[in-house]
Amino acid sequence: MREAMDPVSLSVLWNRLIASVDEAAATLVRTAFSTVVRESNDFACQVLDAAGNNLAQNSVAAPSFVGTMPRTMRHFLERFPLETWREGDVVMTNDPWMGTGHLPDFSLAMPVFRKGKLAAFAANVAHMPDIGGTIWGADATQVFEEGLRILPTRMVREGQMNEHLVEMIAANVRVPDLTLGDLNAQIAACRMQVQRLERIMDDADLDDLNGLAEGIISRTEAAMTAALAGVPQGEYRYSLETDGFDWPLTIALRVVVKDGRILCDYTGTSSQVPRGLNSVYNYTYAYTAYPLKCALAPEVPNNEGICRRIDVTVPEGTLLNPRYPAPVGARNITGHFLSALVFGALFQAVPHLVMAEPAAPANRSVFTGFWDTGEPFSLLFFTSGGLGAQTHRDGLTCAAFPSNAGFASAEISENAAPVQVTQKSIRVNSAGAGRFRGGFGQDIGVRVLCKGPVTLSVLMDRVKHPPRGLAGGGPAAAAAIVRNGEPIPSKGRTVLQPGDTVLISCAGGGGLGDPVDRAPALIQQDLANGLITPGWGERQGHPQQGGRQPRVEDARRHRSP
Amino acid sequence: MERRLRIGIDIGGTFTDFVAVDSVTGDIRVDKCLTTPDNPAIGVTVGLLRFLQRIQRSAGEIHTVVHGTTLVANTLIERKGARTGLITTRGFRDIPEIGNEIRYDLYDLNLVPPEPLAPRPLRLEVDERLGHDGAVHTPLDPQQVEGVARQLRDAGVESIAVCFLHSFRNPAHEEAVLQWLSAHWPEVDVSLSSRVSPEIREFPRMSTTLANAYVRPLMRRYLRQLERDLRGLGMAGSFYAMLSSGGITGVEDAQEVPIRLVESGPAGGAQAAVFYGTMTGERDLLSFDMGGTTAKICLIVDGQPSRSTSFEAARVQRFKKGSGLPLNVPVLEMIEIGAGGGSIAGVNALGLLQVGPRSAGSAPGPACYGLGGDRPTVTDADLILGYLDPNYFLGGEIPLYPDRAREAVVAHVGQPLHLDATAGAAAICAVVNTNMASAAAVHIAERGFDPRRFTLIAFGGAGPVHGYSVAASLGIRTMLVPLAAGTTSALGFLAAPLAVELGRSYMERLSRVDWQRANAIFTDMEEAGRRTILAAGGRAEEIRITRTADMRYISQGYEIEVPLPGGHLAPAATALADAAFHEEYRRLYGRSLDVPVEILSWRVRVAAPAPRVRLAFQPAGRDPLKGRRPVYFAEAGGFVDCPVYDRYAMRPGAEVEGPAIFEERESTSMVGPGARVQVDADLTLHVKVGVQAAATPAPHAGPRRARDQRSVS
Repeated sequence: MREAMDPVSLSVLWNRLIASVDEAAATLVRTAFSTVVRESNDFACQVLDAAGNNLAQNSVAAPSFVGTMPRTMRHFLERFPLETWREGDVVMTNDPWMGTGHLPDFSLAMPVFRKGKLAAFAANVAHMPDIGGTIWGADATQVFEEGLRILPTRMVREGQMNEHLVEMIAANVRVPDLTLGDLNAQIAACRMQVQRLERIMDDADLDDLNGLAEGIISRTEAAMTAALAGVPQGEYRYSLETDGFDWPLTIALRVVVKDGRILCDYTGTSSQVPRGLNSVYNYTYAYTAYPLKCALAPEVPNNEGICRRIDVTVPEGTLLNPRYPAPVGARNITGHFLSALVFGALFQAVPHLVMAEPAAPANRSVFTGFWDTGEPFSLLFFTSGGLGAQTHRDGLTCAAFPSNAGFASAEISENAAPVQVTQKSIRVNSAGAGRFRGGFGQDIGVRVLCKGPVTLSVLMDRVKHPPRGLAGGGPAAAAAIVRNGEPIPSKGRTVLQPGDTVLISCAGGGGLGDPVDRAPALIQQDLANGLITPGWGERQGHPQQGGRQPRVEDARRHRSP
Repeated sequence: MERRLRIGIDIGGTFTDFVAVDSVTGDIRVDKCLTTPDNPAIGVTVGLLRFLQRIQRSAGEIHTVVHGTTLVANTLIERKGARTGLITTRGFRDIPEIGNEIRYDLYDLNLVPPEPLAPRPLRLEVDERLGHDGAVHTPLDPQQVEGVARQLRDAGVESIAVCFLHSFRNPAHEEAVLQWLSAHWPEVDVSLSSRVSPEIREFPRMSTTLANAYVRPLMRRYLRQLERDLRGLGMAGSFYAMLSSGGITGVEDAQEVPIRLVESGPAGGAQAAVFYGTMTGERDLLSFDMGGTTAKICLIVDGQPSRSTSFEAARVQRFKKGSGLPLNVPVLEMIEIGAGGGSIAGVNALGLLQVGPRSAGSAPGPACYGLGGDRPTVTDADLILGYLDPNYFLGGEIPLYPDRAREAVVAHVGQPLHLDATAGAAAICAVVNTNMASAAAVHIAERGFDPRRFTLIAFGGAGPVHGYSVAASLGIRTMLVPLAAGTTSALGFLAAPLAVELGRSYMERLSRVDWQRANAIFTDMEEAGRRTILAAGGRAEEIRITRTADMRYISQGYEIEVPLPGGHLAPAATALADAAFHEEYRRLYGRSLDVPVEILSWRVRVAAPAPRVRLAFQPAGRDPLKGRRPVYFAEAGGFVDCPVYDRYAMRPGAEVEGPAIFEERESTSMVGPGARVQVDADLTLHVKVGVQAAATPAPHAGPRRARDQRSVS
């Protein structure tokens, strides 16, 4: 048992630690090249103790990576035991099973030494612009097609870059300058973090971060335990069906809250599929822990202390724990569904802390082709739909969730590719009805302006399985994608012709509670704002508008208070 | 009558501050009165009249009035602006509501997004479309303009924002809407995005234009009335408004784009720091302004405050980035930390001590005010530790109750953490000082500097109390504390230059820049800037123009500002700009790359020189040593019998060794054991931080120190 620190020293050191990780994150963002890191926020910087426990991460870190890095670190330490690390080393991997679930993400760690002893690790994870293989998509049948795979390796030894490895990466990716630029940015962020940690330990006269780690982690664990004490003990289930690639897939969750712990068991989930929708265990764990923390302990810092109270069980060989060499490229489509399951199950225990099904997974669409001048372009759209309704309010409209990836502006997009964004507007009538409605989705139109064809790769779900409501709340409008008015595949590639217009329609969020209970003032407000059209509400079960009294059957459906 | 009086007026939410400097004698006088929020012009006029009477001067002696106000910011925060409509390109009216889709808090499922300034029914679309190069794809349909104008008029709209896609490349469609509206609906106020914020990215441009439209009718009425009232008093001098960028402009110009006034108060503070820096020969300063609710920190390098081209107003959660309205407005770049005298201390969910960002404000205020506050604050801790005199807070106007402070600290910090009142108070100070120092350290490091090269200048009510510890934490060796730190912003207004900052987007790979076009953009902006400066009374021969470009490696997301030469730019400028970019990049990130570079925006600053301000404080002829009291110093391990000095009686040249306390009406300065303090001719304290203090915590000082020692060749 490590000795914990007094609370005042802990408070002071903790604040400095967080500031230092944010500083490392700023270095990464400002020097990174890929839009994925800087616009989409798809990275995380972290500090781990010498045992590989996550201690702190930057304030707006990608939630998935916060969960995966400690697990990756354990693989690093298995491959490279503590005593083999030296100052200036960097170990990295992009193996989906040890890392974050797909090849584009590089996970890196650099040691911090004190008086000759390894005291902590600076680590970060970032999504590379390219990793070779087929372009980012869901249609690979094995991981080999998805790009270059690097098992844990010493990328830098005592300050010396492994140039052979660098050359090999450069030779295997479409945009070596950007990929290596990002990798350099990751190493720079690690270095910055290491210097800051050395300084913090100097000032506080610490030999390692163990006391700080134990103090923070045990306090976090205690706070998480306290939060769990507010959740009635019991077993709660939820399941849903996704569009899948070739056939629909089932995800089933059983949540057991007992004795200050929470178990999430995904037994009953579909088997792994020969398409890139499989989510490795690390990723499954991360996107299970994330919504749990949001719902139960939003104020508590995110570290090992949270994970000590959460168990996640997934049978091997399933969609959520696939065996090598399953394809995993679009695992985000599957992982993003898990919030809906966690919330759906917890709704039975703590309804006021969760939401109905959100529009997640967010849509990703990649437009690639050539300008009329012959230069290549690749444009990536991240577009989000509505969030689920809550017991006390309507869902948010067009909010990134559970990842926090934003939309680059239409003007920037039109400078980056020969396309015209024809609209980006709230999708009327797309929310799930309810006492509180879901958030609205959006419609984004994109027209091809160049004279040659453009390849569109789409990563989209919720087309056949729109977000559902809770407690009598209605489903949202399903997602859809059409070209010139005709549907095209929601996963996979389509070649667009000059002048074609694609319309991407994001789903809304599910409603919560019986629509008949919706306050007339809220209905009027949505009508006045043009978010719903006259008559839509009535079809969804809203009470009649226009001064008429509710009908008898409405009154009957009215829940007793 | 000789016009030699320069007056700075800072209209805050609660108080309006006045500073008068006699430009011949340097005599400086200050005053405060209550702000009249319902009609701020009245409070200013009445307050100014009273101030002039008190100092026995007349309005006819006024040479210049420079005024800054929180009115713009407060109008946005309280949503008390004009009923505002938006006219935009077909398909884009929801941009103000959808924003960039990113959640500003990763874990809070209950987060509330900022409400758009124009509700959806008042956001209307017309058919028109420009390409990314400004070419007309779909012409503007005047019939539709008429239609939406009628709808907005029927809805009672008073002000209209017009924002079309790519209008920063070609303003013709926006100008056509303005023409139509001026001809057919002359009384409506119109803000065009191509004039307010001609820069790429539709969301921040639309947001800026809407915010401008939202505050403009109110600001126009207010500025006109104020000018009329001042003239009515017999003021015949010039009347200027302070801009967020640290410059000043004529009130006519201020009315055109009033959103540029949004951060005028804090900009005045930073300009005051520059002014004191100039007086004392310090070019690299960290301005540290700690008030009741927040601490603001601004970096000044080589006499220039750091600048930013964007700002976020009216945040839903004050200290959460992304929770406010994005504004493309030139501002002096500042970090704002939720740490002030009123910041509340308590124990959080982890059982750790947390200080701020919640604040007790002025009502009920800190526990020691005895006005009903029972939560311990930073001011309570300062009182317990002996930094403040319970009988001399605001010169004794507000009595403080140490027992209340102790009770609150013991109840909310001491008991949960098993500390007595003193240890609890020391812990509160340690945490709040670390928070401020860490935030400053990150800010300084992000700009590629070592904190130890800076001099900290402390002001604001709580700044001089905490400045010494913050400086020591950062490894900063010198601190300046000017006299009358409570009215610094208003003084800063008087030291600010007439200046305009303009920017245009023209995105191009550096190697392909059309320099003819770049020249045209610069000429255009420089002419506009010159006209504004001349109209505000600047002299043509004094005007200085500086050019910069926002540059980055192609595909990066963050631009850095790079200086460009003046005059006619030829293709040879390419190599110059390239070299300047790489040099700046190396300074920031320690290396440069072999990747092509692109330019996004082109900027100019057109300015007249900063006015010379002379100050002549007269020290009071009494014994500067007021007494002694026990004061807590962490580096001494507890309370020390400490001398207390009367700031007003300290004579130029006086030297004092720390520990010491210096009291003035609006603030108290604290320096620790080992510090050396000197009083200069302007009665500013020059403090050399003691070695003991410097040896205790120094977060992050020296960004590259460790690497130098450890890098392996």
